[in-house]
Amino acid sequence: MVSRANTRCRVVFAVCIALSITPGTVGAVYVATTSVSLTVCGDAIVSGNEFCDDGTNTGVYADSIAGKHCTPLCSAWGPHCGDGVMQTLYGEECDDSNNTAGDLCDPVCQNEQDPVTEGGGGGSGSTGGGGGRSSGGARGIQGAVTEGSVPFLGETSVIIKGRAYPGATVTVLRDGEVERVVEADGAAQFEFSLTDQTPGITTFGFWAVDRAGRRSVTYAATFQIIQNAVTTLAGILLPPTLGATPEQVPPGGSVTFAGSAVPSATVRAYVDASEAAEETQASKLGEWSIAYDSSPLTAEAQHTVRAHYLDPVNTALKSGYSALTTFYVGTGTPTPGGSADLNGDGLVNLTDFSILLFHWNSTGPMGDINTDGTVSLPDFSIMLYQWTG
Amino acid sequence: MGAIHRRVMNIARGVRYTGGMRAWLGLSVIGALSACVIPTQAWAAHLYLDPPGGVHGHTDTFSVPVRIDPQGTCINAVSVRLAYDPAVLSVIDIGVGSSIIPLWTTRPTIERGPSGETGLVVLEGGIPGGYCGRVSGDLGAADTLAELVVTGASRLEGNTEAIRASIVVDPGTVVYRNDGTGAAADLTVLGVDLDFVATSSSPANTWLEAVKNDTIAPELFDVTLVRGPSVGSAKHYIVFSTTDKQSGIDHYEILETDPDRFGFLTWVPRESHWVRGESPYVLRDQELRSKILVKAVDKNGNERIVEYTPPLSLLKVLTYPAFLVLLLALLVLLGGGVLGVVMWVRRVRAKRRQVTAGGSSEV
Repeated sequence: MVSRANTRCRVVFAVCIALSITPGTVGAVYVATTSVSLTVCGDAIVSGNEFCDDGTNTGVYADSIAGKHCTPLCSAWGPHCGDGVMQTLYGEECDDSNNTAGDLCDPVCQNEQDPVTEGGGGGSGSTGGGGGRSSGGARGIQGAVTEGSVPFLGETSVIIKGRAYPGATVTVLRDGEVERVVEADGAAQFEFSLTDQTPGITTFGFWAVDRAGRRSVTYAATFQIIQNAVTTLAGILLPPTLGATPEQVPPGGSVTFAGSAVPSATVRAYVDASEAAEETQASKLGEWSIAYDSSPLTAEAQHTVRAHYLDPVNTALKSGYSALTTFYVGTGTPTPGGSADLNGDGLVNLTDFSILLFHWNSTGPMGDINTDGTVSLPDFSIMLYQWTG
Repeated sequence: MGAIHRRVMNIARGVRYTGGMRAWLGLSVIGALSACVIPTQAWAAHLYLDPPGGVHGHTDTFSVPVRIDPQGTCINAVSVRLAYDPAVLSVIDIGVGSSIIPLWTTRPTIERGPSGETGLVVLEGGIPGGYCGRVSGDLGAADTLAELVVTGASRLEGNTEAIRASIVVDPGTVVYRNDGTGAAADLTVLGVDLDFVATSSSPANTWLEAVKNDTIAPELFDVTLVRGPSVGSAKHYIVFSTTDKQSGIDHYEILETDPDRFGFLTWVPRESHWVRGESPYVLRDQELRSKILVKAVDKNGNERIVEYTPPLSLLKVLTYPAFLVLLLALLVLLGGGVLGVVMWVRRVRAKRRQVTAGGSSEV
C-alpha cells in the first residue's frame, strides 16, 4: 500500500525528472518527451482529468452526501441521498439536496411528517426523524460491493489516450506483442480501454501508419498498472512519420521531406547533426512537407533527416523524434540501410528476435544488421528500435 | 568517486523515512553531484543498485533492486554485469517480475569468475520501443531492471563485528540508445554496500514472502513456428516469450505430443514428456506431426500452458494414421459394396436360369 505522503513525494520526484529534461539543451536526437502523464483512478488522489477519487470508486448508492462513492472511472459521484435527484430505485421518497432533518425530507431521503400540521405541535424535527429507517445494516456495509458472497474490489483496467495523425491506424503493443489496432479520428485523437489487466510493470508501445502508408517509429511508455484501479495514460504524442523523396539526388538537387503529424502542428526537420531546423506547419489533415536544397551537403555521401513537432495546443510540448530517414546526395551507389526484418515478412517481432538469437555471437550475415561482422547487442538495439510487434 | 558515492548514499540513508523520499533525496543529490563532478556526463543514463537500509542478519534474505534512470536519454537494450565477493555475500536468485525488460537475450545468470573468487551477475535484455524513464504520475517503481536476491555467506557466522559486502557495477556494463544506430549511451553507475552481522535469531526472508504472495499465472502468450530453412537454419523451431508481473518467469517446459502415437512409416511409439527449454526451441518432431504445448512457470509454481498445432500439409494429411484408417474403411466399404453387387447379379442370373429351366421342363 502506497501512503498518500509517499505517493505525493514520488509524483514530485517524477515531475522533477520531467522538468530536468529541458528540450533543446541536450542537442542530441534521442531526448525523452514529457507530454505523457499517468493518473490512477483508485489511489484516492484527484489528479489529471479526474472528477473524484475516493480510493475504492464503487459508484454504488450511498444514503448520505458524506458517504457518497465516486464512479469506477472517477468521472462523477455515484447516486446518493442528497444529490437532488430522487432515486426511487434505491428507496428514496424524496431528495432535497441535503441530509438534514426537519425539512420534510429526512437525512436518509424518506418523507418526514410536517411537525406543525401533522405532529400536533409537540414534536420536533429531530424526534420526528426517529422513526426513519436504519441507514446501516439494511443496505450492507458502505463502500463494499458484492457479487454473490465474494467482495468485488473493482476491475484492473487501463485507459489510454493520445494523438497520432488524422485517420491513422495505430497499433498498440503490450510488452512487445500486438494488443490491438485502433484508428485515430479526424482530429488525430485515439482512445481505448483495456479491462481485466494483470497488475504490474507493463510497457505499452504505439506505432501508426498514416494515410500515405508511412509508418512511425514505436513510441513506448512503461508504468505500473495498479490492481483494482483504473490507470489512465494520457498525453501520448506519436512522433511524426517521415519520408525523403527521392532517396537519391544529384549534388545540389532538391529532396522533399514529407509526413504526417497532428493537425496544424509546427514541424521541425533536422538534417544530419545540424541544430538548425527546417520548419513548416502541418495542414488541417496533418500532412506536411519541406522542399530541401541539398547544396550545403557533402556530395557522394549518405545523409539523415529526422523530425518532430510542437503540440499546437501547448507549444511547450514536443513529440518524440521520427525515424531516422536516410537519403543519398551524389551519383554513386548508396549503401542500403540495415533492416531488422530478418525473415522479410514486413514485421519486426519475436520471430525476428528468435532469428537474431539463433545467430547470436556468430559473424552473420543473417542477424548482423549493422554489418559490423558480429551478431550482438548493437543489432538487438536496432531491432528493438524498429520493433512492430 | 567511490568515496563520494558512499558518502552520498550515507546522506541518503540518514534521511530514510519513506522509500519515495529516500529515492528522491538520494537521486537528487547523486544527480547533482554527478553533474558537478563529471560535467561531460551530465545527461548520461544512470544505473544504480538501490540499497535496502539498515544492518542485515547474515542469514537474512532480501532483494536489492537494480534500477536505471535514463535522465533524458531513451534507451532500449542493456548488458549489465555486477560483481561481488562470494566470501561475504551470496546472490541466490534474480527476480524479474517487476522488471521493465520483457525480452532477454539470455536468462539472467549468476556466475563465478574464472578463479572462483568473484561472483558475477549478468543481465542482458531489451525493451521494444525503448524506455525513456518513469512516466509522470506513476506510483510504481517502473525503473527496475531486476532484483538481486541476496543473503550473507555462511562463513560470516561467528563474526562479532558487522561485515560490509559490496556489489559493484562491472566496467563491461553497456546501455544502448533507442535511436536506431545501435550506439551505446553515456552511462554513470553506482554499486551498493550491504552491512551484515552474525545473528542467531530466525532468518528473515522478505523475498520468499513476496514470491508466496504470487497467485497469478504468467501472461498469456503466443507460440510461433519458424520454418528453419528460410532463416538460415536446417531445422524447424518455435519461438515464445511471456512475462510474469509478480514473481517473474522461472522456466519454460515444452511437450511435443503426437495424439496418434504412430506415424505412417514410424511404428515406434513417440514418448511424450515435458522438457525444460528456452526460446528459440528446436522441435524434436521435424515432420511437424505433433501437437506442441509450451508451459510457462513462475517462481511460485503458477503455470500457463499454451497449445500450438502446426499447420497441416497435404503430405502430412495423406500420411496421417487417422486418414489411412479412414481410407481403409472406405476401401472396405467399397469392396463390400462391389462384392454385394456381384453376388446380387449372380443371384438374379441364377433365378433367371431356374425360371428358364422350369419353363423348358413344362414344355
